[in-house]
Amino acid sequence: MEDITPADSVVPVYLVPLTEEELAEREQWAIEAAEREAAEEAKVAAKETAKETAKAKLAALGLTEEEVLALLG
Amino acid sequence: MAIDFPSNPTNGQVYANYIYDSSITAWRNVNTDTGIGTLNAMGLKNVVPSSVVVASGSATVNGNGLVTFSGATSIALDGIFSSTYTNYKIVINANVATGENWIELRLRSGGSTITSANYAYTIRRGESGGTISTDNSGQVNALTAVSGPNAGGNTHTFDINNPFLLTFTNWFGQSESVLSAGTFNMATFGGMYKAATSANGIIINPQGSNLNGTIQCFGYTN
Repeated sequence: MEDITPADSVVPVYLVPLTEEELAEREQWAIEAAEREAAEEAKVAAKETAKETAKAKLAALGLTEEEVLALLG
Repeated sequence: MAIDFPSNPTNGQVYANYIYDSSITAWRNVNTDTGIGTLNAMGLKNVVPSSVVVASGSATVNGNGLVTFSGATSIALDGIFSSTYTNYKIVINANVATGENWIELRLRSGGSTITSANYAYTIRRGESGGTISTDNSGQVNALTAVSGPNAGGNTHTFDINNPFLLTFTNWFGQSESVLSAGTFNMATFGGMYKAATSANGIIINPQGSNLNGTIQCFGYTN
């Protein structure tokens, strides 16, 4: 381990270099994390779209905006 | 490395695990000096690790034991659990520059990470969209895997009991994460290391982007 203790640290700080295998594993994790994030964003967007569609359909049935909001919150 | 006490202290001033006593013009160790009854009766005390190990990035530790790290793929605090305290509180604040992340936590002993499949945990998670979910781990090789931070940051606060004793270790805590999609989740988690093992440290392993943030450990006065 390499001692990389900064001047303002009260205890030693050591650096362990990552192996090639660990680096590859972390790259894969980063890809998976990006996919999770994209999936989450898509889920939120789909929910918003469905909410707007529902509002439009309810309005077409004759509900006032207040009544629609009371239903959907 | 010597502790860099503040200059011109006032009576009762606290620094790291010391309190300044103007009657003897000296700093007194609240853990070992006698006659500091009120302070010794207090519940939580700072714990300064004996060393910190990072994989990539950097870290620094101040006199109160606050570890500040950046660009780290893992952060290990060694020498935080000892016979001085039985139970501890750990507070983590973290964020990453891009993407989302998950965090795994594991115990350490003698400078090595304990990866035996003796950890078991349950996480009850609520998301801002209304989804409630529960994860039960079975016996795995990590203390917990909690929904991690992104640019919005997150926080984990948990108590860990008996890590240094040769008995099972238990933990219980809460976390909060802000996701870049504009949602957030809050989780309650708890679990157990189901083997009589003495640990003296802990390691954070973010799964993904490098991590920036702080971690601090406190001991509950016995």
